[in-house]
Amino acid sequence: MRRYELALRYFNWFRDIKDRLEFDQEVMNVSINYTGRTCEISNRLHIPSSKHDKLKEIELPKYDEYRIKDILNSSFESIKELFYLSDNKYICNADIIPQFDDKILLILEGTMSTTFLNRLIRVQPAMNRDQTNELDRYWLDVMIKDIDMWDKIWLSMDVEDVDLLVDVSLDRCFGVVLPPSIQKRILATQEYLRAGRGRSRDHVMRAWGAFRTIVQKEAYTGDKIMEIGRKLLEPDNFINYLEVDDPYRIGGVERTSQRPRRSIPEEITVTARTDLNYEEPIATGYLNFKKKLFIDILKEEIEKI
Amino acid sequence: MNEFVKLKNNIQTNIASWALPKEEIPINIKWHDRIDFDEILIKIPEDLEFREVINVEDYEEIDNLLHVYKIKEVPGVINYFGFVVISKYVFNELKSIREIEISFHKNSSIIYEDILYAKIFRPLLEIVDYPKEIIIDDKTSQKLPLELKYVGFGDIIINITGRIKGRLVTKGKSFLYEIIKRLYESDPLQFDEKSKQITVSAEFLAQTTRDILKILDDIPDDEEEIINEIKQKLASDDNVEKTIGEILLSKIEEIVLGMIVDSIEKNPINNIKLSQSKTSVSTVLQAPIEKLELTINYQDIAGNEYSTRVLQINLDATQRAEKGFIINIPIKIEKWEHEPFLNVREMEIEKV
Repeated sequence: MRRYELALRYFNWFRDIKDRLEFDQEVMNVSINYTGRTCEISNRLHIPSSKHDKLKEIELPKYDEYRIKDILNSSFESIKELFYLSDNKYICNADIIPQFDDKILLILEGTMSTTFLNRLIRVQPAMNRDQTNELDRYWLDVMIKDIDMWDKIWLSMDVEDVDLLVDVSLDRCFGVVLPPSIQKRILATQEYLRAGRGRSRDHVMRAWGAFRTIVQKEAYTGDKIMEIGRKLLEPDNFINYLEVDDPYRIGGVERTSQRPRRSIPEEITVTARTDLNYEEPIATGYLNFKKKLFIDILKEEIEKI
Repeated sequence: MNEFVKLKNNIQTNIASWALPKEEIPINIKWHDRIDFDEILIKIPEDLEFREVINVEDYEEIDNLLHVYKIKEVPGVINYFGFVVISKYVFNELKSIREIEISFHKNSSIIYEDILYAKIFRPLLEIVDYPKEIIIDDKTSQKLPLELKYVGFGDIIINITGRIKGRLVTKGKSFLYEIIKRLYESDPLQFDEKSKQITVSAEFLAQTTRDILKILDDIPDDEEEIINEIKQKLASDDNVEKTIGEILLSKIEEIVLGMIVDSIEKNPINNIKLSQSKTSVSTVLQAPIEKLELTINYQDIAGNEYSTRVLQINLDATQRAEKGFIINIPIKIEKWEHEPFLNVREMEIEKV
């Protein structure tokens, strides 16, 4: 029993459930989803037919922090209907009882606080990239902080989806590949903006004249460039320019949630994801952004305009 | 096989391959076969400090020594522990290496020892050239050109500030820039697949119009002639909001170009971002000759702050006929030297 003491301390709802299930029981597996902040506890109950009547009377409280995710019989078939939710309580459905044998697996899912997760796991990506001519890379480092605590709490332990968010820098990617027509426009725009900041009206008028001449002469491609950029940065595309060492995988790509959002993003947030368990309580590796390839493709696309 | 070799094959270590000053450097040590030890001693240099100890049952930290007496272990599970170190200061050297000595002790003798290397890198921005004097007359438009050099490691964000007798005289924005910035930052643009054109949402247009009117209100009447003109024109208009909205809509192409320009100017070279894409010395001179003190502050991603030396630039407006000495001199970084450290993971650094 001592094994559960800590778990009970961390999850009051689990203690409540356990106390109300007055049968022999054993925690078979605990799995934590770091990103979802959920903890799944598989609790095996031994309920001989002599105790079926007792089961019929059981009502389990429903708190916000947990839910019954599934109930399996010994053939691993779902008998989730064994408990139904009514009036904010889980009530046993007596009709289902004959369908299972003595042992059932009650799978409970609870939520965990960020503070608690931070006590369990240490997560750190490199702040700054290391650049080569081909790529930008970031080191990744994750450790279980206290393996002993796990053992005291649970028999078996898996932490899934431990996420490291890395802000991959995109600086200069767009700047270096602009075609001559747009570069001319940019120079003219720069000059016009600069003139606007100065005091000379003549300068402003001259710059405006030069700007209009270029606009009339050269085909306009600014919006097309932005569209190409937008497409390349879509997660399904951008993932082609990323690679990550084992035991990591790419968990997602999204525009950095900076406020305000930028039309031309300077960074993109990449999720490097891993799982931890007793065999692998530490995960180290590198995330690579294949920047040269990205710029080459961007250039190729822009040249097609 | 002797004991040391056996332990060497058994023990695996890992240290983060590079770090900025004051960035946490995680280190872990793991071994499969159980090792009987009295103590694991970790010794770090005086200019590093321990930040965190991971998966350790019993330890003592005395100055720059960490005595690990017992790690937390679970039978049948890999043995490991970790610790985190950090540099106490920003070192002057652009690349530094620090030794972290690890030794396993049993019966007063060392049964295994290893050295890990913490590699710490920093950026450096230098001013290569700048004008010692700027002559302000009525004929030519002035600028303040700078030549800068970036060397080392780490992305930086630059902020340029100028002072005259302690008074801040640099401004990071202009009216036009502000309009573009607002458009740029709020991502209001959508690409219309049918017409192959960029469109702006009506809601955004309305908000930006209100913002522009507010900016116009906030600018003092005597600051910029062109603003006065705009204000007067708008004041004679019945539907100011509609007028500005129409102007914006008709200028989408310029705005998109402005956004690209802004993005390029804000990221002039790899590793460098400017906190403002445009900075100007914008003030009213109180005397025909004033001394401008220019400083460039920069910050790395770890939040370490650095400063260049203070530049002294004479502003000479004695040839100017206009009264008031209103000046608006854009600061322009005209030339960059760029020598970033590449592939620091593999970089060999000599011990000092």
